[in-house]
Amino acid sequence: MTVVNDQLTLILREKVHTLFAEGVADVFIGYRHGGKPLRVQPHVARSAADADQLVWNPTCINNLTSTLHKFADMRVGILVKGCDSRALVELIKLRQVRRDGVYIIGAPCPGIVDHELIARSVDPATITDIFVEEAQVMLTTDAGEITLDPADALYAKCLTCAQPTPDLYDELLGDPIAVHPIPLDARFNAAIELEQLSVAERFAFWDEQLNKCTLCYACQAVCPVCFCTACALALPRNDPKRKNRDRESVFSFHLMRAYHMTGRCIGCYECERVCPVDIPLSAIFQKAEKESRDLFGYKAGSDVAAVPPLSTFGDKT
Amino acid sequence: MDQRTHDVLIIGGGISGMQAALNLGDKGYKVVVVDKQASIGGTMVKLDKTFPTNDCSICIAAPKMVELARHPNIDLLTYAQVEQVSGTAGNFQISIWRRTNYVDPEKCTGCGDCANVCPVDVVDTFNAGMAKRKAIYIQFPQAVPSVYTIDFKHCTGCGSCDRACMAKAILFLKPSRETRLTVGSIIVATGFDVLEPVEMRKEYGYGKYANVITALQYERILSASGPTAGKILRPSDGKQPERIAWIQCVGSRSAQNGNPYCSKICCMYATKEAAITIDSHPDIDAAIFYMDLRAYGKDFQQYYRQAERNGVRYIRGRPSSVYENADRSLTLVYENTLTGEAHEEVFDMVVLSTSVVPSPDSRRLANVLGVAIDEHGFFVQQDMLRDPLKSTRDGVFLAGGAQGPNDIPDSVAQASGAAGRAAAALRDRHGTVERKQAPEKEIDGDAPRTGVFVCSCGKNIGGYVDVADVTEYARGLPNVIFAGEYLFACSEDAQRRIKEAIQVYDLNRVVVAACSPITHGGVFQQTCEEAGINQNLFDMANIRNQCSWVHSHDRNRATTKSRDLVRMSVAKSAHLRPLSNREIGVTRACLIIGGGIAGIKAALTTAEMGIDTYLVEREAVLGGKLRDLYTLYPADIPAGEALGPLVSAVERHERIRVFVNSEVRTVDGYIGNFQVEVQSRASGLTERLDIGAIIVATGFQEVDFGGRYGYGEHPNIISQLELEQRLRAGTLGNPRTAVILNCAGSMDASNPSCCRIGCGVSVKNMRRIHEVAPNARMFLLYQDLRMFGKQQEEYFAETVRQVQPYLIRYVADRPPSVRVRGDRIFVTVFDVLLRDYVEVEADLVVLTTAMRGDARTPQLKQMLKVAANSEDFYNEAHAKIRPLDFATDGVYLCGSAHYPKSVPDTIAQAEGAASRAAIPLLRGKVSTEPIIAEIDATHCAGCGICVTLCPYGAISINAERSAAVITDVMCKGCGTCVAACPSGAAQQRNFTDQQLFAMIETAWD
Amino acid sequence: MADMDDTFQPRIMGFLCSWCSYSGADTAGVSRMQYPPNIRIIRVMCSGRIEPLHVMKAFEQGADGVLVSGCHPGDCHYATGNYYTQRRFAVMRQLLDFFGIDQRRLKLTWVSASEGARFADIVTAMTEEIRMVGPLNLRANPKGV
Repeated sequence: MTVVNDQLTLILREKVHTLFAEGVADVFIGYRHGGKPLRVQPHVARSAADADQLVWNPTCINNLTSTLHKFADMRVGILVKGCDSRALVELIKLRQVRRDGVYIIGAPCPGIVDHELIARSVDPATITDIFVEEAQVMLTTDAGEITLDPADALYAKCLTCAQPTPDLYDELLGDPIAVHPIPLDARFNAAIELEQLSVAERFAFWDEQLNKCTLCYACQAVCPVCFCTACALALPRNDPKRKNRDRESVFSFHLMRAYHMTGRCIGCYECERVCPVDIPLSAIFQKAEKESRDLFGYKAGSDVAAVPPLSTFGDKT
Repeated sequence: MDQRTHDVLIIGGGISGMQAALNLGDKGYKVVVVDKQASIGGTMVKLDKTFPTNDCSICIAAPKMVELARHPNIDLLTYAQVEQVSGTAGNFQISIWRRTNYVDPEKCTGCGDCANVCPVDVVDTFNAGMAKRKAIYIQFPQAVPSVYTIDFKHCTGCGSCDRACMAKAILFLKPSRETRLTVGSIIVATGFDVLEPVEMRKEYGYGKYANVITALQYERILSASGPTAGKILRPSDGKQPERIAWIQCVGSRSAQNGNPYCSKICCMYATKEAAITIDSHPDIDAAIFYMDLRAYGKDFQQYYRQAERNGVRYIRGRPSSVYENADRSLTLVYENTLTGEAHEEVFDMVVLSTSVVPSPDSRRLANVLGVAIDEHGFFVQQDMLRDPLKSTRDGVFLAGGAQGPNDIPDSVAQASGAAGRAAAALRDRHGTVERKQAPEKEIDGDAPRTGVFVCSCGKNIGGYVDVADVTEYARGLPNVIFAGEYLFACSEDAQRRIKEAIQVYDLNRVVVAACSPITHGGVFQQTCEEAGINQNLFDMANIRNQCSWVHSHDRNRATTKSRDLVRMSVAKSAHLRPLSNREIGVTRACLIIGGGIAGIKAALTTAEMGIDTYLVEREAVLGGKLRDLYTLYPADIPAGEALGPLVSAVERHERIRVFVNSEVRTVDGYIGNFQVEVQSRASGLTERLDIGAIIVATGFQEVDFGGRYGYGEHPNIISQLELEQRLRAGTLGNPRTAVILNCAGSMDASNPSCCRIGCGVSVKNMRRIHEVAPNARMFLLYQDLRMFGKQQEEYFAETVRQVQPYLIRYVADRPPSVRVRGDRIFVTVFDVLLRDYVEVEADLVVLTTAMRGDARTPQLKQMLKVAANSEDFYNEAHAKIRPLDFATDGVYLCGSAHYPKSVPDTIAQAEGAASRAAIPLLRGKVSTEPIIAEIDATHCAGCGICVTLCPYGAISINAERSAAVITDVMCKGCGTCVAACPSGAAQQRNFTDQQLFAMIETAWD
Repeated sequence: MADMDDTFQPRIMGFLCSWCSYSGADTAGVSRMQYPPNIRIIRVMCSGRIEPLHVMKAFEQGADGVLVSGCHPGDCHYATGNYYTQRRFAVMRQLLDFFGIDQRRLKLTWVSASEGARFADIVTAMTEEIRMVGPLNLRANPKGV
């Protein structure tokens, strides 16, 4: 009924036991089984008993780094995938996390399954185990083994993942996973596709998409690298513009969020995952990441010492 | 000495006198200004605009006048003259006669009701005789003090004014009286007059033909507050002229027909007048008849060429006569000396650029002061070359037009310098007087009560924008309690009415819809302060520069836009908060970079004022270019003789420390508190100095243009500096034919600038070569002979008599060529006066090369955070009224670092820069900017994005609170950090997001 | 008004640094250089103070174009403010374009205090250009014409 990946989960639990025992960490942030098939939920372990609920498997999608700020004064351990670790780099760079205050267990990640996508081919409730390889996703179900093409099983970002293994960690959970060679711009496919349209077509596209936006700000709330105590872009609850969802206010919010994320977005697309109305936000943040690269040669999440591109200038540019 | 009533007496309240007074008053000295007119302002306020920036003259002068009138350390005695002076430097007893104006200055509101009823019409001298005023009058709308004066000579005593005056200000029994003062120093800043060409140069028909006027009269015609309200109309019939001629040098440059000297300013003001004329009336034909076009200053040549490109005709030739035709038009008879053809040409109006002459009172005043004047009546210096600001009497200093023709920036520089010298003479004095702040009204929590004050600026705004409509509209805007309309909001009278409105309506926000906050914001802020409102509860809508002046052809839309700008200002002002500035101490030490004549003089001046002075020179010895020069003009003093005593005075002075063979490596800090690292080039050792102010005196260099004009191909093709070195060393030999080639590498398409000093240098060096080789044939190849400074024209005339050179005029389109064949040099030039090529074989060719600023300017300007132009000359804060300041506080400039200068001009600037630098140093403190950035720690996540981008290093992270912290004195208020802050925790005072959003939201109806 | 032609009158918001561009606009005024009255100017001390958010707010409020102008590179009164401005608006133009808002609606220029003519030319050209691009109409409920 629930996906297990016995071996790595057990190793993880063991590691966390040791962290607690040796006093390296007071809490550990990881995943435990969620209430529904193929779903996990963030789990904050504070004891050995808590640690025994931890899991690691190809459904662990959440970027846990967004919860780190709640444990600022504690010694904290955390489990991060490749993409999550890039957020950690930004948070350390932007002084939201102290590197020496966090113990990082890096999880080499073969890709995470998208439960909605899988549900198109298999009833998730029947899946008992998942194994992700480069070329295929193998599901063990009540009815036997099923093999799916990764494109029919994984989150889109995992198909073009350039960093399955974290750069930044104290220890790794399992062996590093080799990067699959992907075309240079593959990660920005959605953005590039939109770039092909005319300006007017793009406006029409976003007008339609953003018309769905309820200004719930879940995208901002889930973002691991959005750390402001209060978002300057979010309208107050009682603002009539928020209630009316005025077009200009919605455009302004998303465009400005894209600007704020330029040089900061690490491409986890948690925003898109949590969007209740399915706005293709990843396209926006692909654009932000792409411009950061094209204009300034800067890639967020890769180097703690790199100065953000809008906080510096090159040779008179 | 405590019985002194004032520290310094300043005679004359024109731009020079005002500058000197403010300069001393700001240092804390008590100053008295005496002006014989009823208002201060002098000649500058009569001008329409100023060259080469085309700034509106009254617009830049009026704020100074208001500032002067309000200054706590300055007393103003107008309508008065100095009658007696006794005593000695440090203790002069002065007797001043104040003529009565028969009006109580305390009661007069300047409303003008009296003049409305006065039955007597009097010729208005302020408008150069072209308009009438009443027997009770105010000179001009912005007059300071704005008090009416009864002109006793013309008053019939009818009493109408007395009956009309609601304020009961008329005092027929008010007597003239004597005022006695005791002062330490005196500055003579009595300005100049212009020749009335009725006797001399009467061939031009001035006084006989109605449409022949002087240039000063034309300024009044152009001026919006003048007799024609700015319309270009000819006097005979009030019609717009189609053809206007300017005749230059009327009464100048001619010992037979006027004065032998060059009046220095006429070429540029005529160019300006003609340019402004065709700018507003492209259909008018404007022609200037000139002898040499002396566009000698920084950017002057470019200004002249632009005027020419825009259609001003320049005709080289002095008209021989003017006669009037039946239709009152005028025929000019002239020979165009470039074509050799004689012409007769008809114009509708002729403007005479008449000679600058001494103020008519100068002889009497010189007598009273016991100082010398020259044969013309200009005040003379005891030593024009080495001490150009000191009169022949100790304790009496000279500035501006009183000592000869001068333009505004030169006058301002001299006035600053004279102020410094006057202060240095008062070293016995201690303690300073400070302005008392009016108690400030608390507004916390109060709802905005906004007053909107809409200015017509004469017709500058009112002529193109419906001011009444804008005022009425403002009245209906949210929070607006009061809106009023003013002819000149910056006039003293209007200021008073604004203050009254603030009191009466209990206003707590002030919006002025007028001109630019950059030029006038300070004036109104002070008004607010005086009315008990914090100066930051003020905002300005720039409806002149952004509406009336630029949308002059669309009254409707200019008015709509004015409404919009007012609405935006009102919206912003609702969110304004009172701000204060903190005062911080200063290090009383001055760093002077560059040890040439400018740096040396600046150092001596600051040191004499009691300021510790550090003088840094890159070379191993002090002296700069003067070490290479042979002699100086126009006094023909050996350069060494001028330099030697100054160098030893510097070296002896207890307050001066000299660093030779040293360079400034780093500059940190800010006005009053700089930290400077000076490194010895010999030892490599650095020393760290604490400095309060910095003066840049890095001089100039000759442009290296190897290859052109045969330079580098022959040992006898040399630059002027190389010539000076040879003359000094006695190695020139005995040339038989010497060619001096002026404007080599300048005044052409690639470098349009005029180097200002090349003509003077070349004329002087003709004399020197002639002394060494009396039989040498001398050729001077020039484009225009720009001998503009004091005594230079006379020096030139004398040189021509002595040396008898061949003067060959060429044009940039046909530059001379210098060819070397073997060891022979041939110079070919197209002589535009002969209209033929001339070839000369020369055995000495001297190139008067183009000049640049110092080679290290690019590095130094970065360190000092100041600007320089593409030729590495530093950019002053304002070409006219702040020639010695940088935009960056606490850093000043002088001498050829700004632009090439003669030695007297350089010294005047050096002493002036020292005087400017002494303001914060003697005052002993500076104030922080009120508009700095601040951090709301509750919203700051401490991300540190702001830290890296602050150019002043003013931001750090407080680790404990994990929030950014701004060091207020280091913040200059740019707001770059604010824009980078994602959370909005950083805000810039007076430019908060809330305030900017309020403007954005109200930009359109 | 009957005599008013119905040419589209673009609304242009100008954010100008005080030291160079605002002074340049002043110079344009002093020199009586005529340009279309479509621009509304907001003065800030340095172009470094100008945020993309201000631009977006202007578009929200009905602006059809936004002009951001500072000191020429190297001439910033605050040494480096305009370099940041340059980077910020390079990004902003890309993002506007990505959301279907024509890049021409956001112009970044450098105008010095003496360049009155340049300022007038820029405003004139930009007004014409935005007139060609047409109204933005981002607002759901546009303010009255």
